Amino acid sequence: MGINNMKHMRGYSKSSRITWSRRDSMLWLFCLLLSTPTLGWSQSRIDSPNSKVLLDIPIEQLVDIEFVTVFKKPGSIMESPAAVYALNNDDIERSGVTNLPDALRMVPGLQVAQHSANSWAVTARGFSGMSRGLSGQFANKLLVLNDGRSIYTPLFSGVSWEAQDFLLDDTERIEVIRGPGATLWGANAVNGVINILSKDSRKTQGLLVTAGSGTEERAFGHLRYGGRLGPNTFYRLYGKYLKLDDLVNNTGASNSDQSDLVRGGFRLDSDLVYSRVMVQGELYNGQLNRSYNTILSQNGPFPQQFSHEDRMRGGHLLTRLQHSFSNSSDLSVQAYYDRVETDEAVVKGYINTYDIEFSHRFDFGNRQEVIWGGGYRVISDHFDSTFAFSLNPAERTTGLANAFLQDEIRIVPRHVSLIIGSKFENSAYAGFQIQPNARVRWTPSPTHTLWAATSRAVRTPSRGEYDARILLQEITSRPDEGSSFLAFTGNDSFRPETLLAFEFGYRGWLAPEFMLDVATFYNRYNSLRTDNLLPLFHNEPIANSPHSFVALMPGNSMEGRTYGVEVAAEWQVSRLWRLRANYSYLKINLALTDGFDNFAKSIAGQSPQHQMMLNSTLNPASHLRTDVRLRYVGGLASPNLPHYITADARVAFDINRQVELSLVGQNLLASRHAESSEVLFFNQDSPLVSRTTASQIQRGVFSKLAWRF
Amino acid sequence: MKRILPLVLLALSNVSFAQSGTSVVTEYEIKAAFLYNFAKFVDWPTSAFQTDSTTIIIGILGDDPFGSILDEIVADTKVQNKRLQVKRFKQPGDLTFCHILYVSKSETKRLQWIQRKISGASTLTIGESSDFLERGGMIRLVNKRNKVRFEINPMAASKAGLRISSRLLKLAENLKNTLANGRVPQ
Repeated sequence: MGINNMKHMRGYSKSSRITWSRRDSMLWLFCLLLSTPTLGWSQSRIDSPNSKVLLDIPIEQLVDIEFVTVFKKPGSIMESPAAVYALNNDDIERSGVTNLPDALRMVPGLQVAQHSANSWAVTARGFSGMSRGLSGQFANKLLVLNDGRSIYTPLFSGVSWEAQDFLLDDTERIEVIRGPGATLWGANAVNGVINILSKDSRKTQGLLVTAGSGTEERAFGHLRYGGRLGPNTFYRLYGKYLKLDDLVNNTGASNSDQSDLVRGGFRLDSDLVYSRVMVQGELYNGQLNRSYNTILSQNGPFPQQFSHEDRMRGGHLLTRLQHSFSNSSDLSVQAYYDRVETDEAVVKGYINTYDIEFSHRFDFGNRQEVIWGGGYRVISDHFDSTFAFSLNPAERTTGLANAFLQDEIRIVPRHVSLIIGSKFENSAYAGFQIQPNARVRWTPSPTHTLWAATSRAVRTPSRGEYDARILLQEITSRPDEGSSFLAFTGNDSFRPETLLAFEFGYRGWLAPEFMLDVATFYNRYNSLRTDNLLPLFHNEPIANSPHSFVALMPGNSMEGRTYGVEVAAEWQVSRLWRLRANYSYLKINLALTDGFDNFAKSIAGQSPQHQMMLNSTLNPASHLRTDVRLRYVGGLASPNLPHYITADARVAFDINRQVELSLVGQNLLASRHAESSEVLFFNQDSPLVSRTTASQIQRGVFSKLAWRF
Repeated sequence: MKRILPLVLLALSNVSFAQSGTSVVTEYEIKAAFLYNFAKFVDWPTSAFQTDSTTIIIGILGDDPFGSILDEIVADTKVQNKRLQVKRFKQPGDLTFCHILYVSKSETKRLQWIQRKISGASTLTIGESSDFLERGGMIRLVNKRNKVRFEINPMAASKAGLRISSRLLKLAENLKNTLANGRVPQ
């Protein structure tokens, strides 16, 4: 016990042990602030002699001057040798969604299940993590980045979607890459990467006020002001408030899961031709009510049903500097600080993340483009010990170092390219890991692209899997002597999960108005997590209480094979009408390699086999826009949930040049439907123990008004 | 290690990246020079200068890719004995008369709407999207292997009462063949 007990840190030498002092934090903050160039000495082009000289050049010669390309424009998605799908700002706005998980439902191959009014499980290609009690809503194989900042929580290997309130109007694009994105994004991008990009401040100038209200989205408001600080520097400031209504449980009664979330922040962009600087920061504070059915205090009952107002707050500061050395070489450096504080019924603590990374892109010879880089991240956390949940040690600081290298070789220029690369990581929980990846792209004509890829990816164990003790279920009740509980007990011999993936796809225009995107994959997973009772029924005491527990420890005794196909098609029927359709198929086969875990294989039943979506975008008149979306999600085997079909619709009308009114209906086909329920522990026939009871998703309508000045 | 990293970050940010001088030009510096040249080689009807005969107005509609480059290039310069002024418009609804209007890619979808707003006005429209000329635009800037070229739709220009100098027409990528054949575009 205690901060200095470092024996859990495998692969971490004593000389590089980190202890963090307040002075170090100040040094970091100081350097972060200084690294944003002061606007006074920005590289203004006013002093450059170039511009005026051009006026003296006769036009006949102007056509022959070669210009420098500054900052290579990112390759288009059409030619990308991976299963990429992008939602741009217009797609998101017209869908009427108000939160990220709902936006992600439009991406083929992603599985989104809403668990309550303020929690979701999102994953790609299986392993939604809809199970395992306390970490119930965490899908651990998907990496999510917000402007390059990871919002993956290192405590339970997942994403707290509830803390990510969505600034729709300020979102440029959401890029989703299904499949291992290991080389450029690192460990835990096992089944995919979601990259949320916010708009450059230059694009969000002026005043924007939005407000709305509805049956489930009780109230929301967003205020944003964008301005200019000089010829090349733009900024915006914003504030957002969201109040969500509660949903009902399966008996129709309120599940007490209403929430309030406030956030405010800024972004600043400076474009100095050869350099670009971006700084952003945000603070948020939220109250999320949850309906618990879990073990809380040592006095019982076990479990207890109660409602608690969980609090979540935090913030971040991020800065990014890009510099172009020449038209064949550019560098990007990014640093951020992120803090999350959580005060829930059972889990209370904070996590500080300090991250710095860089990447350098350069052309090598005539046919190669190389990208290399590296970074270092420090995560420092503290969690209070409660009866039902504790971490040992309660406080920990770990470092994660990474480096990567990728080379794109144009074997036949404009037709065939080979991309090979690898990421190298060293962390306390997974030691040294290599994640190589190779891709081939064939573009027979500008309108068709075929690609294939093979990669290795790793899912690092989380702090919870190493250090947590979570009481799950009462096994025997001895009123005089104390009860015996089943407890998930973290263990430092739990190894990383690994994936070997094979993918293949096609993307192209079959006709001028018809685009098709198909991606198929075959994934081989090894060392998948299983929870094993060992040794059987050996009771350990729980400190400061008369109770004891039997340990359920994570092991790596399962392997899996998954395969499937994801199809996206787009048809521009006429100038005013566009149709989109998505379909995905997923098959999961899991097998235990040793030991007994009745429950692990049921993970295969937590993902639907078939999912479909049909989306119609129509502009019937010049100031009127309508969208209708129909979705089918297949049933789940375990928990036993039926399939559902749902429809969303949006109508938007421009009242005048500055004001838009929109009306959105969600989940219209049924008054309510279920997308998730807590899954059983240990024994499928016994009554379930759940941390929070699942809500049913209700039909809802809301209206929104947006003013732009 | 923990001490070095913040200092590395600091060092990286403060390194001054010296420019190599006059030999390096960016894409939009050249395009800004082109806008200046279009002002030199296009004749507007006298009605275009009724309100102010001393200024040629260059407007930018939508996302502005020039930044301060255009303002610097036109500052203290005279074309056809008139000074140049740059105006920016976020939306087509904000438009006021311009002699030259650069329509950014973000606004090209609404080109027909824009044309209606400025119809009757002698505005030289300039854009970059691939269907700019088909949609009624007059000059389209196009990048050919890191060089800036342009295409002209002479009919659209003459409909607006503008006369384009043959010096410009000769350089237009899409007109080279027609002129070589001796056919002068109307």
